[in-house]
Amino acid sequence: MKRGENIYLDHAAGTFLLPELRAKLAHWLDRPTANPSSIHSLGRAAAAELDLARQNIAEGLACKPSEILFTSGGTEANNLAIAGLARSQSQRGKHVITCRTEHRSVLESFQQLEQDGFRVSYLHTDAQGQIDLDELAKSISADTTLIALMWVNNETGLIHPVSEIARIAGEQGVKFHCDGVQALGHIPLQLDTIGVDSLALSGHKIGTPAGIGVLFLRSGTTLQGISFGGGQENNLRAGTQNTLGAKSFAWASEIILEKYAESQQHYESLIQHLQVRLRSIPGIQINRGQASYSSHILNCSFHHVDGEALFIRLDMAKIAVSNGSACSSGSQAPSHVLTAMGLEDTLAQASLRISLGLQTTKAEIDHFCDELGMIIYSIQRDPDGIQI
Amino acid sequence: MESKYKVVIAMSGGVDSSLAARLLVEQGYDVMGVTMKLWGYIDTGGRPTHDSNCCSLDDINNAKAECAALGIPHYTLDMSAEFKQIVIENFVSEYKVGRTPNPCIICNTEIKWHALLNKLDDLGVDFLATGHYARKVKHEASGRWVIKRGKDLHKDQSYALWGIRQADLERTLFPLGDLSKKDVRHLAAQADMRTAETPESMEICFVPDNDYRRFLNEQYPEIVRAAPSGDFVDSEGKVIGQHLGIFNYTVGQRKGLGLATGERVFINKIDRERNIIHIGNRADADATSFTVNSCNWLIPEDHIIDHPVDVQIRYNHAAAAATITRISEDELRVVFEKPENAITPGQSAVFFQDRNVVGGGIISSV
Repeated sequence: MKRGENIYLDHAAGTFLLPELRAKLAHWLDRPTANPSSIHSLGRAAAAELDLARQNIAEGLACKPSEILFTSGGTEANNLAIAGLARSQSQRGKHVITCRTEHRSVLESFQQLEQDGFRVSYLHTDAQGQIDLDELAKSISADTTLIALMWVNNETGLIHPVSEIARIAGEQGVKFHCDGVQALGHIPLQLDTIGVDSLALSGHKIGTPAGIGVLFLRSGTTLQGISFGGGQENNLRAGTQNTLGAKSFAWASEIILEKYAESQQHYESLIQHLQVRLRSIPGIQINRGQASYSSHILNCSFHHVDGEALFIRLDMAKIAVSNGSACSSGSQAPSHVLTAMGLEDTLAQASLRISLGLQTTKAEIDHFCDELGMIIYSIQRDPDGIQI
Repeated sequence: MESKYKVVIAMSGGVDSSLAARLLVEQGYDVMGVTMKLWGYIDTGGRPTHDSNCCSLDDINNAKAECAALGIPHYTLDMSAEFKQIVIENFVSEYKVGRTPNPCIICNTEIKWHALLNKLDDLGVDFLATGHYARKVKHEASGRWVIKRGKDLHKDQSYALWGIRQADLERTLFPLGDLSKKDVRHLAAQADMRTAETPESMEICFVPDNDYRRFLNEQYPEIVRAAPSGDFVDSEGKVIGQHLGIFNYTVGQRKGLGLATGERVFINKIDRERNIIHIGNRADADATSFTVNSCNWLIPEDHIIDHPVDVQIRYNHAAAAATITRISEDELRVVFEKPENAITPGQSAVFFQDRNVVGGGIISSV
């Protein structure tokens, strides 16, 4: 790492391209974007490539190729699963369950359902963002049709007990959708042993370019599509398939799986180091308790610090981290995840989501912590606004 | 490496501040663009698809794009809590007591300058720049900074800047002060800027449809409900009609009174204590003297009090010769040489010497 270079610690938003993909992609860039539904030879070739990608991805997830649907990304996969599962079962009931620390693409799908007359229960979370499985079991009633809870929280790294949730849902005959976007590459996703009914995944979190996602949909699960025209993806997701995206996803998930043990060691040692370094910064609160966490995401907050000033100073120092919920205007609203966990608005606003990638080095972590320490030192004020 | 002054340019997304940013970059400053999010359409009940001006997503995107074109960073700062607490609260409470506030002036003083500069301290910034048509010059006799009218007298915005504290003014740059609006449009077009033809914004930003009564009705219904109707009285004290609560009216107002008097009549005075609105002809609203409070002095007040000044009493008023005397600790009397029409409590009276803003205050009574 050279001085003055950007330090990118926002891999949970989007990773670098996996280096192995560069040559593979380059090989395909000179071909036309043939429609896999076309009858000509290039179309047939594209269809075959798409099938192969589907097979490879299914192998990695221990599921069937027919259970893999391609989407444009995690958001679309979440939208499709939640709206599709809830609507296809609306004859049976209109009660659905989630919690407030989910990703916006999940929460806003539920808001949409509320507008359509569904009743939504939001489970309580504790200060770490954990749900209570007893509360989950108790909130299921005769008209409950869907539970949606994420695998790994994108802002805190907290891991939900997905197997147990799936068991409870299965026993009650309720469908369980899981947002697995931050789990892919960080948790073994063996879908033959974990009873989720659907799972959303995203390519650019594991090293593909943005624009490709996957929805796993277990055989026998009926879903009502939300896009129209073309009948692709088993009539559930209309639109010309992104063949190169699907191939990238398949390549990347294969590579990620091969390197799994090695990468876990890498993340684990970096996050340990990061935590040790961060603890020496005055006024820091590391938002990580005794629960299970993924080792690529760490969230921390700073007392007596103006959140906007903190982010601008970090950007001026060429450091890219996230506060979890930049809105489209670019202004910062306090993170809904942290406020749901009980953090006050001002503290939630002065919070960082640091997320590590395969390319992240210890030197980068050190440089980041040095800069962060200096910035906090110069902007921290006591409660009366006096510089500390 | 040569250390350059760090300047933040406050950007609305319009042509003025966008060109100001470009000029600062050309002058060699280390520039950073900032757009303040001051309010949301949801908060103020405006129509997002109509009348949009500052603070809409389009404006923020325009500012962002102009900064990207200049290769400088852009940040959006959410100042909506401060804006609501200071500017909107003041706006509402002034109408409640029958005065006619100028929220843009409070916003300049307290938000654009004071609150923003406070934030900039944390960012290690030397100067704040804006796209106002005004100039900053040294007042020889006192060594203090004063605000000189912009070179383009049609666009001059110095009137709206009287409240800036001396310490804040010291850290201020006005890159457009020596330019005319025509120059600005021309330079922007020459540089192929996307904001070159953005329309002028004239209305209060949080009341984009210019209907402050609608704003108060929708946002502060409890105040509207609590405002009793009362009498319109003519110059002889005769009751000639009923008003709908004093917040609906402004001194000098002619339209929307619902009075059939057969002649052109104006509101001359709003008497909040008695809940009476005085009606008369135009000349009845002439006055030579009024009081001001909440003053800000850009130069020591002994250079102003009892010295000749020109006083401007509203945005488009031609400043007129007057003398200022002190009445009490916080109140002064302004006496014009000749009568002026419709001096309006709540508006700002700005004191000029040699085309320089040297101070100002809020008109308290006429």
